[in-house]
Amino acid sequence: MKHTFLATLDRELKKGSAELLALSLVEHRARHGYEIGKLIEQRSLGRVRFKAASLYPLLYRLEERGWIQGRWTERAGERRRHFYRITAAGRTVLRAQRSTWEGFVSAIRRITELEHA
Amino acid sequence: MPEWKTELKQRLADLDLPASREAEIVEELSQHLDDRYAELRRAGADEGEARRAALDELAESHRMRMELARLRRSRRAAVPVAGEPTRGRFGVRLWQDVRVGARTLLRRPGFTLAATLALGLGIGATSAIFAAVDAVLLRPMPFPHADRLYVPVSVNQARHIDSASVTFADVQDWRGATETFAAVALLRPLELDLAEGGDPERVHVSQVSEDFFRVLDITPAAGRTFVAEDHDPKSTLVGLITDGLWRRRFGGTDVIGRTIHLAEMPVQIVGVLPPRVVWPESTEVVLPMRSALFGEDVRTRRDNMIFGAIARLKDGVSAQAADAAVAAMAARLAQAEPVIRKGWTNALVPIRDDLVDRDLRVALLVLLGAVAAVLLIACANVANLALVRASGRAREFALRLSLGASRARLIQQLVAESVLLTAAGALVGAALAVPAMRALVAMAPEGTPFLDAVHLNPRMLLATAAAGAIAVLISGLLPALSTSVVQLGDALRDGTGGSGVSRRSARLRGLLVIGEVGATVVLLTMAALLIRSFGRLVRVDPGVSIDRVISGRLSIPSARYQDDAARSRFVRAIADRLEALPEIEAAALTSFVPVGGGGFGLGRVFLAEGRPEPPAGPDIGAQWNVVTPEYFRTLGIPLREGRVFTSRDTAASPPVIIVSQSFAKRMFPGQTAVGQRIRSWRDENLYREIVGVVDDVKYTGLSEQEIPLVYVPHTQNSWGAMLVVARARHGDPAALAPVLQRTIAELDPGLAVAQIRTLRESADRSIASQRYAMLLLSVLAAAALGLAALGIYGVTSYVFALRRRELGIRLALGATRANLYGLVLRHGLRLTAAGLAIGAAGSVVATRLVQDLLFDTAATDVASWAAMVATLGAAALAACLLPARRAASAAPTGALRAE
Repeated sequence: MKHTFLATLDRELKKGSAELLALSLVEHRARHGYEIGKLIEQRSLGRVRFKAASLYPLLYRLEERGWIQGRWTERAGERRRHFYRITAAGRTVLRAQRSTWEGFVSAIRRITELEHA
Repeated sequence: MPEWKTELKQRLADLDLPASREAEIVEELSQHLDDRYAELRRAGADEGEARRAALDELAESHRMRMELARLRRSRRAAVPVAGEPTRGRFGVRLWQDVRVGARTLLRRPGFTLAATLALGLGIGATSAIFAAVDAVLLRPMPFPHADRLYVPVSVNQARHIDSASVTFADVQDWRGATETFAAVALLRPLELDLAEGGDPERVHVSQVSEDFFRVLDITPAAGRTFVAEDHDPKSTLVGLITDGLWRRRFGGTDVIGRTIHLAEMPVQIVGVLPPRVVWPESTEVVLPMRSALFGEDVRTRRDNMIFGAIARLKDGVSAQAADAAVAAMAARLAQAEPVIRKGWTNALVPIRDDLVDRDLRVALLVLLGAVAAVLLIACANVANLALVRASGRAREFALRLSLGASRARLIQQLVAESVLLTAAGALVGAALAVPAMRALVAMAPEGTPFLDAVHLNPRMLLATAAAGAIAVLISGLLPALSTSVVQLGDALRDGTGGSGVSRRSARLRGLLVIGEVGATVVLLTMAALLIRSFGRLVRVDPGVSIDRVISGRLSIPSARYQDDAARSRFVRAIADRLEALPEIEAAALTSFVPVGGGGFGLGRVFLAEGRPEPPAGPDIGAQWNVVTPEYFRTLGIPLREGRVFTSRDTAASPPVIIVSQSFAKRMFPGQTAVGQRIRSWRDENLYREIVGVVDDVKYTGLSEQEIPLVYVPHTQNSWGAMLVVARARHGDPAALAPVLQRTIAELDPGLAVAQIRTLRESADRSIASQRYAMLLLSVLAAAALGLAALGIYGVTSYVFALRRRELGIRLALGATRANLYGLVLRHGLRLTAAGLAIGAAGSVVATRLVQDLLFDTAATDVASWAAMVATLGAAALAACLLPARRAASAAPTGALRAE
C-alpha cells in the first residue's frame, strides 16, 4: 500500500515536472531527444528517468503547443538529428513554470520542515 | 547495430499518421534506440542484452501510441500555420494555406465581399474592354501575311487630305516597281441595285483588276476567281458574291452559274467568298474591272483620283522602304506635273489601319488605359482593406511568429489568401465581363469592324489572369510585407496605439489613397473634357434644320433613263409626287446630304471669270452638290443673297450655280458674289452664273468643319446617283420611310431606296464614336471616383480610430467639435490634394491622347479642369464627413476609457 502510494507520487511528480525539465534543458541550446533524456537521468543522479515511450510524446506535445521547435540539423561527420530549441513562447512558459515550481517546493519545504521541527 | 525501424513501424502502424510524419518519428526513435544500444554495449552488455534493454525503452508503448494519437487528432483540428515548422511537402502546405485562407476569408464576410466586388469590377471591366481591343485592334486579319498588305493613298497636307483615292496611272507605275511590290491591284467601289432574291436592294460592288485576288491571297469558298478573259469587255460579265450576301439574299443555296442583275446588267455568279474575307469590308459583290473601256483621260490623267488600290510588299522590303519609294515617285510626279500634282504625295497605310477608324482606335486605347487605371484603383482599395485587416490581425500574426511560424510562412499564408480572393474576383469579373461585352457591342458606333468577333477567348482569359496576378501582387504582397515586420513586443502588448505596424500601415494606406486619387484625377479630367466636348458637339449648329427630315438613296439606272432629259423628268416627278402628299411639307433630291447623311460631294476646283489658270493664279476648291429647286427649303438652309433655283432653271436656260458663304468669301473677298461667273476649270469648264449665296452647312458630320460647297440644279447636271430628302409636316420623320418606298415604287417598281434614315439619326451616327468614348469613360471615371472616395473614407476613419485617444485629450483640453471636424477634413483633403497634384501632372500628359477625340475643346479647357476639381473635392469631402462626425462626437471620457 505504502509502496503503491510512493510509486504514484513518483509518477505524478515526474509528470508534473516533465515539461519544466525538458524546457529547462533546451533553454540555452538546442538538444536532440536522446541528449535531453540522458541529461535528465544524469543530473537527477538517476532519480528521474524517462523512457523513449514517454519522452518523445512529451517533446511532441511541447512542440505542438509552440513552446519548443524541432528541426532536422546535420553536423559535420554525423548523421542528421532532430534538435529541439525553445521558442519565445516557451521561455515565457518556462519562467512561469519555474516560479510556480519554486513557490511550490519552498511551500512544501516550509510545511515539511515545521513537521520535523 | 540492430535494425529498429521495422519494429517501430509495426507499433505505429495503426495510428494512421501522415506518411512523412511517421517516417520522422521512426527515424528519431530508432536513433534514440541506437544511442541506448551503443551505451549499453559500452557498459559491457552483450548484443542480446543490449537489444532487449534498448527495446525496453518502448515499454508501455500503448501510452506513447495514445499520446501520439491525441496529438494527431489535435493537429488536425489546429490552425496548421500556427507555429508549425515548415516540414511538409510544398503541395501539402499550399493546400493547407488554401484551406486556412478560405476559412479566414469566410470569417470576415464583409471584407471578403467588398474586396471580391472591387476586384471583380476591375477585372470584369478590363476583360470586356480588352475583348473589344483584341477583336478590333489585335485580331489577325483574314488575309495571309496581312502585315505585307498596304493601302496606297494620296496625301495633300496643305489641303488637310490624308487618305484620298489614287489615280489609275499611279497604280500602273507602282506595278512597275517590282523591286518594292509583289503585286498591286486596283479597285473601284460602286453601288448598284440588285434585283434577285427579294425586293431590289442597293449592294456594295467592287470592280477589281487582274491582281486583286493574288494581292489579298483569297481563295473562294466555292467556285473560282477571275481569269484574264473575264476582264475582256467582250466576254460574259461574271462576278463573285460574299458569304454575307449569299446567305442573306440567296439562303445559302447553290448559286454558281446563276445569273443575277445588277443595275439591270446580267452578271453570272462564278464564286462565293468565305465569311469576312474581303476588302473593303463593305463589299458584297466583286466584278472584274474592264479597263479597256476606260477613256484615255481616266487611264492617263494624274489628277483623276477615283481608284482604290491594295498592294502587297515584296518579301524582305520594309514598310519604311516601300513608303519612301512611293513618296519618291510622287515627288518626281509633282515636279513633272506641277499644275495638278503640286502638294500631293502618296503614302502606304497598313490594311488594319485602313479598316479601323483612327478615332475608334484612339478611343479603344484610351478606354483600355482607363480601365487598367480602374483595375489598379480597385487593387489599391483591396490592398487598403487588407491593410486594415492586417493591422487588426497584428496580434494574431505576432503570436504566430512567436509560436515559431517563419516570416516567409506568414507571407505565404497571406499570399494564399490573396490568390483565393483574386480567384473569386476573377470569377465575378468573368461573370460581369460577358454582359459588359454585350453592352460594348450594342453601344458601339455602327460600322465598327470585327465587332461580331468580340467574345470570350483564350487571350481574354489570359488577360483576366494577368489582371488577377497584378491584383494579387498589389493586394497580397504589400500588406504581407508590412505586417510581417511586426515587432513581437508591440503585438504582445495590448492596444494598438503605440504599435509600429499601425503607424507604418497608416502611412502605406495614405500613399495608396494618394495613388488612387491620382489615377482618378486622370480619368475624371479625360471624362470632363469628353463630356464638355460632347456637349458642344450636340449643340453645334449644322447649318440645316435637321429635325423632321428623312433621307434615302436611289440610283437611277442609266439603262432605262438614258438621257439627261429622262433623268431630269424622273427626278422632277419624284419630288413633285412627294410634295403633293399631305404628310410631307417639302421634298427634294440631292447628291450630298448634310451631317453625314450620305451621298458625296465631288471635289472640284474653280476659277472666276477673268482670272488666270494655275500656276499663274490660284484656284478655289469646293464640293459639288447637284440638287432640285426645293432642296434649300426642305433642309432649311438660309439664303443669304440672291435667289434659290426655280423650275425656270432648265437645261436650256443659262447655266447657274449657288455657292456657300465660305466659298463666296474665299473666291470674292470683299465683293458680292451674286452675278459673278465661275467655272470648274479642270472638268466641266463651263461658266456658271452665281445666282445665290447660302449659309455654310456641316456636310460630313457634326464634328467636322464646314466645307465650301457649290450647288447646281439637276436639270443642268442630271446625275443618276441621288438621294431623296423629305421634311415631315409634323411628328417623327421615321414614319415617312414606307411613304418614300411606296411612292418611288409607284413611279418605278424596279428602283430600290436604300439607307433610309432620319437626319437626326445621321447626325447622331456622325458623333457616335465620341458619344461612345464619352459614355464609357464617364462610367469608368465614376467607378474610379467611387473607389477613391471609399479609399479616402477608409484611411481617414482608420487614422482617426487610431487617434481616438488624442482626440479625446484635445476635447478634454477644450477643443471644440468644429476643431475636430476641421482636423479630420484637413487630413482627408490633404490626401486628396496630394493625389490631385500627382493626377494633374499625369493628366497633362494623358489628355493629349484624347485631344483627337475632342471637338472645339482644348485639352487645357479651364471649365473641364474646374469641374474635375469640384467633383473630386465634393467626393473627398463627402468621404471625410462620416469619419469627421464620428471623431467629433467621441466623448472625451469614452475615448480615454477605450485605451
